Amino acid sequence: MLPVAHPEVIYRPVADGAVLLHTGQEVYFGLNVVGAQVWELLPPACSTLEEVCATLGARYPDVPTATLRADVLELLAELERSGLVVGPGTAAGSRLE
Amino acid sequence: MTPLPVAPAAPAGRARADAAAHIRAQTAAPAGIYRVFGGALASPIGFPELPRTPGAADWVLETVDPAPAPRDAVLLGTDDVEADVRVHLYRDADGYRLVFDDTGTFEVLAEGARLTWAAGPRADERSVRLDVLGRVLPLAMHAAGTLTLHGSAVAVGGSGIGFLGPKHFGKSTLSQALVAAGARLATDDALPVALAGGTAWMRPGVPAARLWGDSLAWLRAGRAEGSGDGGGKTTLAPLPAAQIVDERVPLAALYVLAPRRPEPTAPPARRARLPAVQAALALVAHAKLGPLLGRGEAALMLDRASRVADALPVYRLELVRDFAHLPAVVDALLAWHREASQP
Repeated sequence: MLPVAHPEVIYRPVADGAVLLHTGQEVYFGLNVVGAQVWELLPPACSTLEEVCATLGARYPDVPTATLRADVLELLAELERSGLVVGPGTAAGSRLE
Repeated sequence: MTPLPVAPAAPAGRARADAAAHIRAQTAAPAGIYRVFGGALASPIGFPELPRTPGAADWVLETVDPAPAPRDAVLLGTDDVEADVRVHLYRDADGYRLVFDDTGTFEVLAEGARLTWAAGPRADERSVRLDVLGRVLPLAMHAAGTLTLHGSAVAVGGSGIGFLGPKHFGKSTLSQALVAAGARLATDDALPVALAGGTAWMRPGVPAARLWGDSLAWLRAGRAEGSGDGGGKTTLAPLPAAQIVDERVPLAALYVLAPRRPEPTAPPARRARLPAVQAALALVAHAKLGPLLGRGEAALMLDRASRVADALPVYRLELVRDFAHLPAVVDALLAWHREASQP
């Protein structure tokens, strides 16, 4: 299952990515173009990691599937460590995969 | 380089004797409508540092006594004014409320158009003026949708360039050096930026620069002498009208100052455009009222910063903060922006 955006996080897209702000903790986090796409594919857009990777794989066919999956997992882990996403149905976060 | 005039020495710090009525009676300039931030402030308090202007006011300041009771006030943030003076910002059902330990309570109402002041027990004329120009009017512009940055700015040709950075990074010195080389001064502290029609515009601030002692000595002498920080800042006398920006102008670029040591093979100034993500974060970090607006307005600030970051280039400007290299830094900036302003 995918984590979901923390309810106190707002997302502001800019020309080359996006900025996340956790309004409760006043934490800012910059995303590049691909990172912003991953964010936009979090639930409810997609419900599984496989769906996210398949969508991105269609957009970036030159990137090996394993590389893409590892990059997505790394980003999700960092977002989780920063408190910007939480596990589905929990307030305390969850392990990915 | 033209020597810069120096205003008569102002009293250090925020003296604490006068009450509001006395301020209005003894103020050096009579009450009236004053030109500031590209708009007009109607005030019962005189602002001798500002030009008077005819016509309708954008902001109307009234005195009230006592301060109206807040309704459902939420504390947004607190900031240090000086060592023993703090200011608290509240948002309530009517607008914003700035409460200074010494000068009293200011309300910002009607999306910034109406301002009230209830004098505090230790108000003095100079501190009240500083509070109005430094925090109350920037808050009024914030209430009206403007992103106000902590920075200095000049106009080269018909376009503005702004400099952002913490204290002691040389923002004022760089602006003054550009003015001495032919640019016009727009602001020395509060840089309001607003978007209109997809263009970022800067409004002029208070064009009275305050410089540290070493910068003042260098600019007056027009030569290089050391680079350390002096004691207190000195306020320069107002510049001639031809050297001041009095209207809003399109903003060509913002520079985030990054002082560095001299390197034998590197130019004294080099710039690198920040990606929009980093630019937006830099603008949030240099918001004029950031500590006061706090978490409660953070989403609003990020929204405005993101849109400004998309609308104009924001550069990291690496420069040698050394008076000997300042002319070369000025030359580089003028070359970048004179070229850009050519038809």
